[in-house]
Amino acid sequence: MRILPNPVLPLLVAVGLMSLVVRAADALHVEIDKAIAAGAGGTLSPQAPDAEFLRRAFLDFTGRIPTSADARQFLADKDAGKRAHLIDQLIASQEFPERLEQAVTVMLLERRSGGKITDAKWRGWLREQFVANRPWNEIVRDLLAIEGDPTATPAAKFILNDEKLEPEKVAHDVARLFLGMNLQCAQCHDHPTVNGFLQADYYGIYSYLAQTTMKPDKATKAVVLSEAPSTPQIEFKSVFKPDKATTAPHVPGGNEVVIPAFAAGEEYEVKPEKNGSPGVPKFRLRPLLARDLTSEQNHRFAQNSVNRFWFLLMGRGLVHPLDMMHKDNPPSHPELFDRLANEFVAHKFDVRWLLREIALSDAYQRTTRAPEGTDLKSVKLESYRMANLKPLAAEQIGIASMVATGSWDLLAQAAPAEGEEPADTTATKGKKKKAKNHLDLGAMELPSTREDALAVFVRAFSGPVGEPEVEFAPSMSHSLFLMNERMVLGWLKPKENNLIARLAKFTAPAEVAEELYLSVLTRQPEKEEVAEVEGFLKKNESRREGALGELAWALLASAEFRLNH
Amino acid sequence: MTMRRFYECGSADHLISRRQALGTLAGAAVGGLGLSSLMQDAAAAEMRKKGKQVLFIWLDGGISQFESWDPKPGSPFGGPFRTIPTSVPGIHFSELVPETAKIMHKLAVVRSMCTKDPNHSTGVPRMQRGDPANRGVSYPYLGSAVTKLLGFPVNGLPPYIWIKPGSAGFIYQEAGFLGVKYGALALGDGKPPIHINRPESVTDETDAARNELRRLANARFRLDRRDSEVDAYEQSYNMAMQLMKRKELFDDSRLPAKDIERYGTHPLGRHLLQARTLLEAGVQFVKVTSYHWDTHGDNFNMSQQLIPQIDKPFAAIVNDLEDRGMLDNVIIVLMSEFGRTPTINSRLGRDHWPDAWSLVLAGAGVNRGVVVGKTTQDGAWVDGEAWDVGDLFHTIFRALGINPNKTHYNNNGQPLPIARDDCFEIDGILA
Repeated sequence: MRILPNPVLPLLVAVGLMSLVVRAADALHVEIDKAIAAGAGGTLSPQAPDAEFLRRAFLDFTGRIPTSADARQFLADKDAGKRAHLIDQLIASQEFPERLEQAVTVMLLERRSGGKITDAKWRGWLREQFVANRPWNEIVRDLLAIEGDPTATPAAKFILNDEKLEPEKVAHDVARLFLGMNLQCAQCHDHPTVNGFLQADYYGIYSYLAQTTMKPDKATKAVVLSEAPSTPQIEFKSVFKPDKATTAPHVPGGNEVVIPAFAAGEEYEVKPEKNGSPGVPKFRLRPLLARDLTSEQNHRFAQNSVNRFWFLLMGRGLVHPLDMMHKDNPPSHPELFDRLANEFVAHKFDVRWLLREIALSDAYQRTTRAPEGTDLKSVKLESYRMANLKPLAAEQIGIASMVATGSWDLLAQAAPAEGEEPADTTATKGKKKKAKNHLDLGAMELPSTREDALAVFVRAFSGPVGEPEVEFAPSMSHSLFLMNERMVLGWLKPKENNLIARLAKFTAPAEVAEELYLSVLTRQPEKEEVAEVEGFLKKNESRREGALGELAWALLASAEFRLNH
Repeated sequence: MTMRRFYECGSADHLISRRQALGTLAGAAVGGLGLSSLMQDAAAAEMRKKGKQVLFIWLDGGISQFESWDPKPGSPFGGPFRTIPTSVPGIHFSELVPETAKIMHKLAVVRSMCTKDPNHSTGVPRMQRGDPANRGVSYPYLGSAVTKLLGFPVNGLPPYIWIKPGSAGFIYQEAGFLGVKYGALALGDGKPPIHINRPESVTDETDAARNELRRLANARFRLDRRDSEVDAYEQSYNMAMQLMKRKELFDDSRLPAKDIERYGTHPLGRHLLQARTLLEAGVQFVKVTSYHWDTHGDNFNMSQQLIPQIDKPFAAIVNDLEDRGMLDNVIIVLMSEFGRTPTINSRLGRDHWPDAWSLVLAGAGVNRGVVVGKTTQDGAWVDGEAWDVGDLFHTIFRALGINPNKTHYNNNGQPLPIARDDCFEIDGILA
């Protein structure tokens, strides 16, 4: 971005503050590109063609691919600023908070499902946070600071596993997902090979949570999150060392919480009663974890946050693996990393702003093809010299498949009307049960709504429960699904105005190919591809509709479709 | 403060865990993207040529050694059953295993197993991983380990199939740090994976045509792009298509009635018969699991019911593999988590006993007609040298032509032993 003429500027130059001003005035996306260029170590790939960019932006910001109409419109647009305009348009769309909700749900819950707080309630809540563009640190604070009956608060799904609260698991999740620290080892001993992943770090986080249990409130009949009065220090012992150590609650790198002493009998704000409340102590640690973790002073929280949102768009963390943020695994672009984190804090943890800046960068908009004349193997993933390939999440595959085949418009929408309470337990269970029946029991009735169809895809393509979805992990079962699933094959038969019905109306092979490629792969076909379509249709003249279905299937089943490239 | 769930350091995600090793799914097979844990490729290639296979039979819980491979008649703990001679003079089994007794000359029995963990929960993973020392990673189960060490077979079939009662799925957890693709394809009750059947609307010709179009599309996509993702995706289709071509592997109706009768119509019998089919087809590692070998109560009546369910089909599959000329290529392991107590509890049951128990080996590289080790007169303790599961892993790997002292996993530069480095090959087993 150019700096506009500014009458004050000469004066500042005169006092030697030019560089400072330029730094402050440069938008973040400009800084991103400077840093990538400086660390590239070779030529950079050119910008992605419009079509490649369009598909990428749609998938990243709405979770779906564009329709052929979307594609035609964008490709025909001659406005030089159309990419930035598109990004703004997508961010303003209704689908954007849904897409963010899906991505963040996969990140935070790792396909964990079930329990009294239904998936629908959690998702509705999280979507609302993104609709309102609430600061990321506040969203995270809400996940941890819950008191009372947690099943009344959708955000509590993060800390609850079904109806149980396991402080050890929550401590690990907090460390991994919000601090970039995989402290699995550190529960038993300092990490053997990572300097700085200490047992005291694990216990520092754990201590905030150790007093929390689920207890019945006999007066209200609810099971509530209850805290016992805090002990000042927690003891732990390394399996490698003979002596015990102690720590007080602290986030790694932060100050230990000083726990006030109360006279006996004075600890409680609400005293425990035999037939009533389990008691509420005056001093409660878990809300303080929410505070300390998400505080602006906790640099690690900001770093981890930007790293994960960067990963979402760029296919790789600046620190990678995402939960191995430590000195011996430095960021690929240290200054950029700090800059992102600092500005994220300065912008009040504004996720929308952060994603927009990343998407405006040349780095995001680069092609996934190698720079000309380079040896692909020499181009490191972390150099961002070319854009990285990203796997589509299960939801993206499902929605993209429906949009590509034109089934999206034909399937009924079962979502509740606006303002209505999201579907409750029974509805969610029903949806899942339908997906299970359909897949495992070969139920004859095919899903008739978008939601049911999507549930089938999610069941078929989700990663394992409890595992982060970071890498591309295609399996035989995915391929069997695409080859033989009746629902998908059904979508490749002509119906109303779906893809195959539209293709069947064209006579010229070039027209067929164009509509096919724009609908499924969001790009114009190459000459060779038009010829392939022509040849295939000619060879299968007697069964043209079937042949159209096979042409479309091949693209749906291709790597180009399965990857966000 | 109890923290069992997360306490065991080696049990869950770790520094260089399976999760990060997920990268190998896309990378290791093809281009070295991400971290890889490749063993020496040359050695793997050599082994593939030899076409070694494994049949791993897991009796979940513990089969009573007293009522099977190590009877102690007349001792205080011996129980009511008699012993019978086997086909090898001087070696006796319990009368509950008459069929296996007839083929003792094809088997090697270890009577001096001494393992350590009487708890179910940690027992199964610990045993099937070869009780690895805690190296800060989640170790692969035997089937995944062998898949890694032998490499994917060229026949394109899933390398590791697990036949079990109950649910099916791809059990990636067994792969540990090796990465998802070394997991087990589990067939619930022997049924094929869902979606293996192509709807009738798709003919052979159209199926071939659409897949050819798909391959052409992928070939165009990969130009100037990184190969590993495309390769991984193609591989998933190739494996799916190989399996679809072999649906007969899951079709009971093709099996001769005589074989079904010989193996038995109970799950273990049917699953071992299916294992034979899979081994014949060239599946590299087949695990067959049978549950509920846990006779804490009523041990003798229960054993009378249970033990014939392994005796008959086990003898049958050893004989069948021999008849087919496969026994020199397939190593067969028949084992449990532990044995059962010499003492008989108040419910006439035998409890868990890891201190002295037996297992059976046969096939590739394994001596025939031998018993290794012995237990004390009352069967309570190992008399002489005892062997642990780490020793068993050394023995199995060597039978497959892999030297565990020279072969390591390479986990992101960290060399990791494939079997405990304080363990040894069991004496007297390997030819």
